[in-house]
Amino acid sequence: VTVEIRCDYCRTEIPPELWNQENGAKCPFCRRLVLAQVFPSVQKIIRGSGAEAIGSESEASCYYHPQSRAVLACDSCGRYLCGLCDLDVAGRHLCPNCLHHPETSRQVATGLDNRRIMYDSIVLALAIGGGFLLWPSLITGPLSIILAFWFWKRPGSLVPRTRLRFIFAILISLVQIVMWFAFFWALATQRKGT
Amino acid sequence: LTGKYRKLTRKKRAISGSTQLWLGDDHVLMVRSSHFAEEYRRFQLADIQSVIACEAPARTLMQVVLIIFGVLCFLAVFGSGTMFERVFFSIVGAMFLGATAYDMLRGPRCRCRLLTEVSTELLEPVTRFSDYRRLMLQLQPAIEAVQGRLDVSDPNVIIPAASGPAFYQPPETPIGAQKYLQPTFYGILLLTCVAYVLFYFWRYEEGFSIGLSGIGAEVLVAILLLSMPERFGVSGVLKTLLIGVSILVAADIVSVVSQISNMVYQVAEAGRTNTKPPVIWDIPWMMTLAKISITWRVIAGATGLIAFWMGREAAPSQPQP
Repeated sequence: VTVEIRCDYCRTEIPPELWNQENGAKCPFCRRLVLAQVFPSVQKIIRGSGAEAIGSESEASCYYHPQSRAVLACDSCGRYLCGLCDLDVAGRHLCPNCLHHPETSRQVATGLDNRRIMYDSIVLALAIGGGFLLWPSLITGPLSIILAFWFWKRPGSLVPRTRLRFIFAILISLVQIVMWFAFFWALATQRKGT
Repeated sequence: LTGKYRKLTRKKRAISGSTQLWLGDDHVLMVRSSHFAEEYRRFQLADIQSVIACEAPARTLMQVVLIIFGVLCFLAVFGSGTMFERVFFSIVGAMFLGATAYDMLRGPRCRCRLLTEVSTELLEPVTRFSDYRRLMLQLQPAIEAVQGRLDVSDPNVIIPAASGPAFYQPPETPIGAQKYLQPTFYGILLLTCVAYVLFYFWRYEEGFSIGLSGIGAEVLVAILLLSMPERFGVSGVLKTLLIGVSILVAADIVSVVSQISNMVYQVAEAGRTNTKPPVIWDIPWMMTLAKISITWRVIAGATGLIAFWMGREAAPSQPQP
C-alpha cells in the first residue's frame, strides 16, 4: 500500500508531520509552500488478488496470462480470466478489455451519465452564427426556433443550468426572421412602386 | 437531479472549454465542458485520500513586462497629438496595469491535486491558495463527515509509505520540441531583421509588412517563454536577454500602434472634411523603425543563439540533495 503525498514541483515526499497544517508547510527540499489535507482513507488497503500459477496441463489458463490459472470467465466476452485480470465492477466480473469497451462501460455505469450534449448551446450557436453570416440566417433562424422547442425537454446538464440559452436563441432567431420579412417587404414595395 | 449539486469552484475557462467542481451528496463532480458537450468525473467522498496544493512558480517576469508595457502606453499618451491616440493608449495602458494588479491581488499561485486510491487528478479550477482555502471550506467538512478526521500524531494510525524514491526527483526539464522554442525565438528576430534589411537597403516594400508580421510572431513566442520559463529552459543570461528583447519588442509595438492610430485619424479627418487623404504611411518613420530594428535584432538574435548554443554545450548535471 502506497500513498503519494508529494510536492508537485520537486516530487519530494511530504512527511506526515507536515500534513493537515492550517497554514501549510514548506517542502523539505524546494522550500515551496505545500498545503496537504489528508483524510483517513489514506490507510485503506487496495483490494484485488494476485494470479496463481497454473498447476497442470488440464487446468484452464487465463486468456491474457497463459501461465496463470483461470478462476472465472468474463461476464461480457466469456474469456477465461486469472485473479489479476478479473475486475469486479458493480457486481459483474469483467476483463480489462471489456471494461474499456464503450458499450460495456455504458452498461456498467447504468444511471451514471458520463457525458451529456448541451443542446441549448448548439441551438444558440446556430442562431448567432447564422446571423453573423447573414444569408444562412434565412435557414438557421427558423431552424433554431424549431430545434429550441424540439430539444426543450431533453435532459440538460447534470449541474444547475437554466434554459436562458434556448430563450436567447429563440429571441435572436425571431429578430432575424422579422428583419428578413422587413427586407422582402421593402423589396416588394419598391418593385411595386417602380 | 440538477438540484443536488453545490458549486465548489468557479469555472476555469479556456478556448477549448471550461472545468468546474461541484459537490454532490456523496461525491465530488468534475465537469469538463467543451461548449457543446459536458463530460463528468466523480470522486466518492469516501475514496478521497488527500487534496494537496503546491506553490506554483511566480509570474514576476510576466508582471514586470506587463507593467513596463502599461507604463509605455501611458507615456505614449503624453507624446501623442490626437484625442484618438490619447484615448486609445489610456485604455490599453489601463488594461495592462489593471490585469497585472488583479493578478497580484489574487495572491500566490498553486497547483492542486486530488488523490484517491487509484488516481491523481489535477484540479484545474484551483489556481490560487485563496481558491484552495475556499474549496476546502466546503469540501473538508463533507469528507470528514464520511471518513472522520485523520490524526497523524495518533500512534495507532498507520501511514503507508510513498512509492519510488522518497526524497528527490529532479523537476521537469524541457523535452523534445520545448527546448527549441528559445532558438526559434532568436531565429524569428533574425528573420524579421532580414525583412527590414530588404526594405531599408533595397526598398522592397513588402519587407516592411513581413517585418510587422515578424513582430507579431515574436510577441506570441515571447509570451510563451516568459509565462513558462522553466518548461522551456529559460534561465541565467538568456532570461535577462529575453526580458530586454521583450521590452524592445514592446517599444516597437507602441511605435507601430501609434503610427497606425495616426493613420486612422488622418483618414477619418479626410473623410470628415471631404478632402483627399494624405500619404498613408510615413516613410521617414518607417526608415527609422527599420534602422533601429535591424541594429538591435542582429545583436540580440546572434547573442541569443550563441548563448543558447554555449548553454547546451555546458549542460549542468542534475543536482543531488
